[in-house]
Amino acid sequence: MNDRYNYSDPDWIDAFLLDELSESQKQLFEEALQNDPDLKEEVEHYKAVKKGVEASEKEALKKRLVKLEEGLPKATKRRMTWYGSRVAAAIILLLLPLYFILSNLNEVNSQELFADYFEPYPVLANGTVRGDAADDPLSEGIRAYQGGNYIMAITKLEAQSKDSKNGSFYLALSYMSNDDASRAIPLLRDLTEDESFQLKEQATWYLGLAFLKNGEPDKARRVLQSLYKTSKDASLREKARTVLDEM
Amino acid sequence: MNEGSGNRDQLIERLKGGDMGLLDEIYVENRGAFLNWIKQKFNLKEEDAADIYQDTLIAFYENIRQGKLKHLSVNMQTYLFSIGKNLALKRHRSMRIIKKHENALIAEAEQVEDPFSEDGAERTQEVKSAFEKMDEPCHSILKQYYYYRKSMAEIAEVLDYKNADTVKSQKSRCMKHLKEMFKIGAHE
Repeated sequence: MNDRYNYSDPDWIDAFLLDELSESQKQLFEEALQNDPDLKEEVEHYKAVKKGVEASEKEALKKRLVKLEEGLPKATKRRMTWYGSRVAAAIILLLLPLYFILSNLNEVNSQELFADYFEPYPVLANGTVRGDAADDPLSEGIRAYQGGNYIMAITKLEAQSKDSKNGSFYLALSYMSNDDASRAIPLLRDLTEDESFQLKEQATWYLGLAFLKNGEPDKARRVLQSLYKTSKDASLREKARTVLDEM
Repeated sequence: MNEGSGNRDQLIERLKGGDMGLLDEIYVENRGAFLNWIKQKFNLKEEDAADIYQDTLIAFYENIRQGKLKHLSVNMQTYLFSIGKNLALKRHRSMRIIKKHENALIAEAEQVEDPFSEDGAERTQEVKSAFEKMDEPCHSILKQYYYYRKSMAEIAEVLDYKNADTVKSQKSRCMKHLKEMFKIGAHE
């Protein structure tokens, strides 16, 4: 504080508002404030600006967190009481054999096929990922995906704008890696209908697997059959054929 | 997130520097435990629990941003729980009686304010919307200075100005500009 008498200097006002003055400086400043209506008005203006900026940024942060929350899977299962959990366990034990008899064996088979064939698509092969230094949600999300941190990848990729097809592709794969195929399906379906998307056929392959995972073998079969018939990529055709054979 | 006491201080430093991605990570990491706990404790619906969780993170960040929280002596989750409990009690005071012995957990977060409690004032709202409409460089300078509490020298570096003094005089012009906007507004 160079000029201790010029309290209307912005430095003084900001230091006062941000609580950076020593006790004695603060006293001097408050005295001046009492005796100088112009200074008082100026301080009020600064205070209002500070509060307005803070209010605006807090609101932006709230929006950011709301958006983050919206993209996450429901966090909570209601905890059962001790008694309730025993009853539930007993019921499950009684019904378990029945479940295995009644449930279509396809279901189990589908899950196994998914586990055998699902592999997250590598990022580098795509060649369109931007430099490592970028810290927008898209790059951050793809980096998290690459590192196998799928929860973080989901968080970041959901926060990015919907315009990036690569973003939705890797978001879908993150869902699948995170055992949430049902969220992957609509994303992949959009991508398979998009002629301009360069990984369209890969998206078709993963859509087939997502249906398997989601216990919809008929839809999986249709998707994989069309991939087998139309794909120009021999290795994809081969993979589709193998899964179809095993179904 | 590896969380020793020294690491916690590092986390606080990074948040103070404006690393909002880290706040997202903290959000995701503590969410399940927090939501389960607060829903059960206060018998809240999913949306209300999530709302309190978001405001808890904001209050946590506000404490760091304003320099009130420099060191965490308990682990992150305990601290977030204590803020969350405080906010929930403030909002649901009429619905539930506080038990005295429950206050032990609150000790560290006693000063927590509801992060939005004072933003309703008319003047604040006016300046807020004027600020949101402001062009660059004013918008960024004011945000860096009043929200992220960066020094003039730091802002010069971030926004590529020659030096701290250049930023300082630009900021003064921004403040005058805002003031004139309100003068005009008042005469209309």
